[in-house]
Amino acid sequence: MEFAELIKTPRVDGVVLRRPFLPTVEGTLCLTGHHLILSSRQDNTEELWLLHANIDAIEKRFVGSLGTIIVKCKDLRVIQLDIPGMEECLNIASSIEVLSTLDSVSLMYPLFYRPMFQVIEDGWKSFLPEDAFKDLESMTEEWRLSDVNKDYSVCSSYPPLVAVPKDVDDDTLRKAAAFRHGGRFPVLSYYHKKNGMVMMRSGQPLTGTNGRRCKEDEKLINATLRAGKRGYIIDTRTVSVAQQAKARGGGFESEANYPQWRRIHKAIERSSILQESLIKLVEACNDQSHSMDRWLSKLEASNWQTHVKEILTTACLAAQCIDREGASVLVHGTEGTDSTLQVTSLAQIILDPACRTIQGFQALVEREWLQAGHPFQQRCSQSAYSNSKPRCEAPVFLLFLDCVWQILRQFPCSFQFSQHFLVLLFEHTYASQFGTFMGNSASERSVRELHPESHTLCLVMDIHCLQKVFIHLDLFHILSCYSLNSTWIKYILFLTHQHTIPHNDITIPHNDITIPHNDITIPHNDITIPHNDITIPHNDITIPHNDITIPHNDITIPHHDITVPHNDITVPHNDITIPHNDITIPHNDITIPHNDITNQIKSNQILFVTYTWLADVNASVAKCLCF
Amino acid sequence: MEHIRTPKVEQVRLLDRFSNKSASGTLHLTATHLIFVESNADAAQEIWILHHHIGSVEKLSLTTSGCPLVIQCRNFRVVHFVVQRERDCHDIYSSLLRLLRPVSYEELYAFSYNPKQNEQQREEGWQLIDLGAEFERMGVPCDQWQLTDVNRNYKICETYPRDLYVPITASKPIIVGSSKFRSKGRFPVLTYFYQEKKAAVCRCSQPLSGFSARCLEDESMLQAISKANHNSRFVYVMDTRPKLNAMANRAAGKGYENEDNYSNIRFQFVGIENIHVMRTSLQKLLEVVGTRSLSVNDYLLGLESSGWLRHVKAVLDAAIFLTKAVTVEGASVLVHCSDGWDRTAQVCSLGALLMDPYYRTINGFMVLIEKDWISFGHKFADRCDQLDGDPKEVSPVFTQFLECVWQLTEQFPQAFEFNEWLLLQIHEHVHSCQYGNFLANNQRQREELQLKDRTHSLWAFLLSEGQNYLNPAFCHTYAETHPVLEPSTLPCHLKFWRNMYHQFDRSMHPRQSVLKNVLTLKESNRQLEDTIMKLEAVTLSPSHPLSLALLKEAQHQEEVGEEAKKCCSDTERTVEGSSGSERKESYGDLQGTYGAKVEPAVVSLEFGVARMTC
Repeated sequence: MEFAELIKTPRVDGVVLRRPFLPTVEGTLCLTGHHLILSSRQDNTEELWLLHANIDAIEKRFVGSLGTIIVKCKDLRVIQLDIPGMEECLNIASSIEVLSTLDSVSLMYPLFYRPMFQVIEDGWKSFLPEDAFKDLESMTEEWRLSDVNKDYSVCSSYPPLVAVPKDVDDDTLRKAAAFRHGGRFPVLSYYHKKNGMVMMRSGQPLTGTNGRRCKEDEKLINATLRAGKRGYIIDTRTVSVAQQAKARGGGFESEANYPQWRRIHKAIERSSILQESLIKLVEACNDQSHSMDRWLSKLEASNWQTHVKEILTTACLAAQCIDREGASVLVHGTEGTDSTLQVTSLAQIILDPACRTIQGFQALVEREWLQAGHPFQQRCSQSAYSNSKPRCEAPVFLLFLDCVWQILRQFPCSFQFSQHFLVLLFEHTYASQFGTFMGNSASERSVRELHPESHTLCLVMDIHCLQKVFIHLDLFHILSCYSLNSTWIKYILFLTHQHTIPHNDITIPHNDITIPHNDITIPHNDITIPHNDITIPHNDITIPHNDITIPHNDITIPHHDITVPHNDITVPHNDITIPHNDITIPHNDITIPHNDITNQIKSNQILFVTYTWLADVNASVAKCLCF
Repeated sequence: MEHIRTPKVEQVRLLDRFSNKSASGTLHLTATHLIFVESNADAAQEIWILHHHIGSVEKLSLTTSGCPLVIQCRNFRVVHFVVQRERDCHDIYSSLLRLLRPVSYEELYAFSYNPKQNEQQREEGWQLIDLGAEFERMGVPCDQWQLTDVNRNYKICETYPRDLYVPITASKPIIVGSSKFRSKGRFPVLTYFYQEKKAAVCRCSQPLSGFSARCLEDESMLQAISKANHNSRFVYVMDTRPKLNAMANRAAGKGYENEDNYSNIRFQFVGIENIHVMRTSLQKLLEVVGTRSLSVNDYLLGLESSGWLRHVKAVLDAAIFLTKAVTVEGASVLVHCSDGWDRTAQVCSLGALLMDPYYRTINGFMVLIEKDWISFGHKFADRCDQLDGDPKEVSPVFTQFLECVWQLTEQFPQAFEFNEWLLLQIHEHVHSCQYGNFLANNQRQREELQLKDRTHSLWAFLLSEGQNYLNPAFCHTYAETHPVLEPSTLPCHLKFWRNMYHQFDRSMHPRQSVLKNVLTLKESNRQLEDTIMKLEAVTLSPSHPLSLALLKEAQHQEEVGEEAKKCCSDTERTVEGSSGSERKESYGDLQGTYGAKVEPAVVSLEFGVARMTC
């Protein structure tokens, strides 16, 4: 099929674009196979490039011969296009409708996209399970990497390689898989370095009404327990929901068959309810009445924050079991692809400082969401505006991001990234030029890699691009006000000595702190986790592995010919939260050997604070919210 | 002292409001404070509660563990003690009942408070703010506005200050006539002059118009205000009350301006509710947020039904209306409510804050409060219940103003020189009666009490520790690019002010604070600069080996310093208790207590700073 057939009117002049809080733009509207483009064709004005895949719903209105299309996007933006001419407007609208609902994978934009930036590394190979396992191997020998699923035959939603207890052979795994929903047998999700406890995840056991049991499954999970120790099974469903699941062949682990495990039920809602909740939340955010009471009651009716709180509570519970109780944990819900992943990934953010870096967070998303088989394509095919009946759509990943944001609000100094990073991830899950979130599982993505165009799929968001933008900008701004960097550089240069730099010549510009506007992509809430003394264990933040970049033009250091010798750099300790490294200083005036500085800093464990405090996220109540 | 029967009770338990935790310690009752000292030697927490801060004391029925005593403070602290012996509990209870109801101003803490200052320092404190200079800064007197001496002896209006600014064309008879037609004699006077457009913000009380009465002098007064501004043909009259309330007032011979009688006015109601509605609203809010194990939904419903944020929005909307009229249309505005000392003060001061970057600095903010609240006679004594008075007169009008300012600081993080802590501290001292500034109801009473001779000024105290109130995100050039702030009052932008209403509930606050980190960084940065200076000095000296040795030493010092800093970042930085400079060390001077203790593995962050960022 050719896109041209679908585009009846490729170009209209004199179209006016209206967006909330931004100036209107008048220009030419073009439709291409993948984009809706509006350009005023003048210098210095912004162009609108909107992926058709990002369009959730459109509305048409006519006043005389002036047509108006209101485009509601999956990333929750709403824009308005005023199109002169009834016919053009109808043509454009129908083209958009068709183009935005194309199902065929072969027509998706990531297969056509050619990046404009230089691809520094192959993103598909950035976070391989083998690499993650190498870290694990260095800590323990109790686990092995099994390729039982190498052709996706045991479990279609698992990756080819999974970590399982060393003493359990592949046959046992196959049998256990037959006993678990979707073949999702218990696999390792997280290894807690501090005490060697683990978190595993799986699908529900298929006990059914007559209480089937599976010795292999029992053996598999018992293999993770130390002698005499008990573990916890966290079922993300309520007892009654889990009971009902028995009638459909599912169920839960009975005490009799799993005597070494204690089962705890929590109440994370199923995906259809979450989707409803998102729709209500977005409706509340878009309410035009400006009435305080309406906002609060609609917010309440959406139940969104209740879901956030429930998920956070469950994740805190899992983290507490592992860190405080010193017990291993198995998490599952029904399929083990939604609420289970929310809990396991959040628990890792709580427990493991590495997950709070940009790189670590990307690795976490890769491991716990993409590899673990969260069906992104199904969950994200519609967003909050769509009129069609939701099938499998649900903001499961968005809720996870919201939970991360809540933790970030309470521990602003423990994260390398800012909220912008989370928003960016949210946008890319719904519509993206990258193939990262395409498909529903590792197997689907690997099948597509055989496709002739597949090489374009091998693009993941370029890490280095991201870092420039998303390193805690807000905090960075504040720090730069105090010319932190200037002093550092001066100090480094001084200690390595030879030259002193005049005190005031280093200027760092003030970036505008972003002021809140009606930016509904971020839920305006601030939930704090409930009351029952659940605490997030403290942890040493490890030194982030990334490079800070001081924007290129910001620093001007006079004095030519300053050369810093390679080995003399010593930097004093300091309490700095912004992970540094790779200080790039412009031009040729100064050459600081990049790697040397970075290495030096790392080896001396300098420059970084160990944030020993992910202290009590104790239990403030709902009211700590701000919106 | 004669009211204190039991000065000390041991083995008292302090229960946490939101968890099952408790601490035991000793309760001391002094002439000015109720002090709880935790007996746990390691982390001995002390709570100082000034008697003036105590809003109510309640003795609950006896339980097996002892006799519970619940104390609610005006700074939103709620403490729950359990005293073992009922007799002790009763003694404390009855002593407090007497102590928290002072009957005369002389009993207030301000008259006995002595912060070890000499007389000269004390007097200088009172001279910090000069409203005459402030009007000069605005460009008044000028060719259209002048200083009038009609109220020199508080003859025309006893709740106004002595110095008042009126249009040049308003003669004495007009002023006198107008004041007789206004409730409590509060005739229209200038409060802010927007130099750029020569537009004035004036304030007054409601006219005594009843159903049909009119007053020619009052009409010419408004005419004079209108004439003083050549940019606009009319003057806005903002009645900040809901229309219904204003109409009801007509039956009592008061009311609002009839547009037919006044030439060139545009009349506008803006609908802010009265002090009684605000009082109940805040009470409801506190009830809701004080509930244990509150669910998200109950919280949101409670927030809605309290209506508090709705009222905050109404006040902000009114201020925005005022600002637009003045800055965009260039029109003068006359603001009034009933008596012109509650809603009028809120709207005028917030409007000025939006219009003039000066008021967003620490000094400017103090001037603003001094001008629109203190000197124009907001009844602090009645509204804050300083003396045992009519409970119907009590209302959180000033608290609401501070909250509006806080909402603005949240929307414009770069625009304000001060941080949240200043607002909290001012709120603390409005109720503490420790400084003379907020005592009594108006300037005349303050002069009678000779406050300037007998008490200290809060402003001097705040300025002396000004570095604590600096907002690190403040950008000096922001005022040039954004002289007028245009806040959004979309409901989702108004937040619950956790750090005010949960100020003392530790478990409610985030565990890390960016602000605290920045303050620490700033300090370490300063030390680094020092080291650089030292090192620079050393390298200039000829003996090179020596300089190397010094360099090493300096590095070592740095390391020690850094470690110490980690510890010190855990020291208290709180504004707990209002004992001010007496316990200044509790402000956790950044230098203090280096290396006093090892960094605890789990740090629960002190709310003093934690609350400042969220």
